[in-house]
Amino acid sequence: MDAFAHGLVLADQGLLSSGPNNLFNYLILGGVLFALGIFAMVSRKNAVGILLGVELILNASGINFVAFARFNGHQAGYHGFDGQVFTLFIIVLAAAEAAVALALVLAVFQTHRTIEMDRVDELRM
Amino acid sequence: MPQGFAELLSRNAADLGLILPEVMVALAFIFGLVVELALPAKDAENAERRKTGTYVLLIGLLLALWINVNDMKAYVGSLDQAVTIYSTGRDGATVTVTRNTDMTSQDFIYSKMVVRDSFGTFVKFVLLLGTIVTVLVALNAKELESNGRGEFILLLAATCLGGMFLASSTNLLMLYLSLESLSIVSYAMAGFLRGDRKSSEAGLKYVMYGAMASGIMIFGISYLYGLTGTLNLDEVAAHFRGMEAGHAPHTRGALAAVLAMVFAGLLYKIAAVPFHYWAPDVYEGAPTTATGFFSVVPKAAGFAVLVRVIAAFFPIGDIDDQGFNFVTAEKVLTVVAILTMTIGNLAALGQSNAKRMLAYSSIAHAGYMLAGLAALSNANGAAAVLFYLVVYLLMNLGAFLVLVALENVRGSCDLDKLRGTIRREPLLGTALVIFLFSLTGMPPLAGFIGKYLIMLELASAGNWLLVVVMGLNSVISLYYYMRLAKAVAIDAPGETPVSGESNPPVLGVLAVGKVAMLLALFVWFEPVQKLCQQVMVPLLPSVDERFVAKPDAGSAVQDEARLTPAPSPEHLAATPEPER
Repeated sequence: MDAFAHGLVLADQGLLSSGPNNLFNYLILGGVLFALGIFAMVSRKNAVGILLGVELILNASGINFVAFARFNGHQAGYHGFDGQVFTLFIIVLAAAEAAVALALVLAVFQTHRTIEMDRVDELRM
Repeated sequence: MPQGFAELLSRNAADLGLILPEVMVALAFIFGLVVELALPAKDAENAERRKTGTYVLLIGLLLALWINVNDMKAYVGSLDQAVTIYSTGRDGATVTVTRNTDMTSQDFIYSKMVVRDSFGTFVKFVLLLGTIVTVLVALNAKELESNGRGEFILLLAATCLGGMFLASSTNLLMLYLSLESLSIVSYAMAGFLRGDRKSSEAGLKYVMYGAMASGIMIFGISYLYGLTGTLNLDEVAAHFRGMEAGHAPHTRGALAAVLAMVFAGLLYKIAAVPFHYWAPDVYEGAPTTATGFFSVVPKAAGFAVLVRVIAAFFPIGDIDDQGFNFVTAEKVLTVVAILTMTIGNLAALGQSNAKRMLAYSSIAHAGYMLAGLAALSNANGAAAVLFYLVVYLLMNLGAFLVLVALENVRGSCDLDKLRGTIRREPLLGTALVIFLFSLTGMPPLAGFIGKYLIMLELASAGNWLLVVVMGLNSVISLYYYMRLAKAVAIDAPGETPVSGESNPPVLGVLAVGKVAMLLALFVWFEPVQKLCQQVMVPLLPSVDERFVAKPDAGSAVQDEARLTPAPSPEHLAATPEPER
């Protein structure tokens, strides 16, 4: 068997089991969320919109972590709980980051009366 | 309650002794905060009393530094007992490698979340030193006067704590957590000046770019976890190398993409070129004290963790390992280093604000340090980077210290307003010129030795391209550093109104101290250089075989003679033992 396939554990029964409840679908979901998050970050001008994109990315990785831990956790050498624990920390840190970011957005709104990123642009030479 | 739980608890409590410097900083932060909050609120009469919290914090930081220095002494003290562990031959030449058992020891604590080793201790020393100096500067910075100076100084300590854990993390979860605790606090510091348009803009930009970078990094880490089933850095790297060995290009491509995501987050932290866009804006808008701090302490922590991650994935100094990812990593690092230093220096040429100019210059310096890392096949390349970090701490923090002092009396860092400052502030002006000479890399100062050592290691790794590019870049940087020096020292003073107050003497004392250390490091650089090489030892591939799987080294790539430096007996552990 190709070692890469082994690495991804594509042959794992979790992935090949019938029905929607398998690793592959969760990874697709995570990938789509990630892509949407990147799209939001790139296309949005509004600071809060960009923050929403970041949240999407963080949640995408959270889904990945939990899915990997759930479907591969029983394998030998796989630290099954690490994924769940990591996701909990992601949730906490996302909250902390959002708190600081929103406070800064507020500070910018007080000085600039706008939170459009392309209009908050005095520092470019 | 399971029986193992009590045991775990007592072991964890005992492990606190191994992270004593971090514990001290945390305690100092908490007590400083309590004192800060307990004292009466903003009241002009209480201005002096409100510094009490800061003094509590400062005492804690000094204690942490003292403990850390003692730790380092314990590592270095055993040098005399250095023993010859193995000798190895390559191309017929017999090389004896002396390794110090104590310098190589690594204590993994808290389920291998954190490691205590000589490397981490050394970096923590740099971080604490930078923080203490910045606290002293912040105490005398006018920009923070009516803006909650006490809280700002507490944030400095919090950032330092994050950096200390970052420098000693060996688990991707710990790495992410400490990176975030370092970053989130920095965001708040960048936007600290309430009502200041530039400062709030800098804070907003910092948090937006930072959140993007950490989001991408965390997504990469989730795939790394899925691929390897573990978050331990060494185990991830071992699996990774096992998978990478001898597979189809698309497999390698997928693995490289995942790794690139993780490295993006780390390169963002040190403002290397594809991820440097935030740096000039943030550095210009943030309070000058914070800018000096950002350009040194988080960057040092970022470099520390970068060295750790690179050492895990690509065995530094392992001249036998010339597999796919080793050679590619060298090439990628070379390109990133060239771009970083060149773009940083070229962009600095046209700046008219001293802060922004030094922001671009600090990007260029990140490039020089990355160049040291690009000499992967030479174990001493990373050691030269550590040496450069110390020198860079002294000269860059020194330059920003003088900028803070000049801003106190001039109100701005524009080149026009700094003209002829040396006449009114002879001591600080002279110090600034000396720091600029050192940043350029002029001979009687330690900046020269820093650059020289990196170029030397690059040359012995055969990476002549980077040596040439570094030399050219030093010449480019000469132009803008001297523009600033000329404005300060030679030009006639402008019409700028100057406030009557003079700067507190402590800033002058600090500046003189740094100049003295730059001179001393030029003359007696060898002990420090040796120390840097020794603290790197625990990260190098060792006799006890840290890697489970190793790609076949006997492939065709090996005939590239450029990757084989001639190891000398002085090169501590430059040559790992061949497996076969």
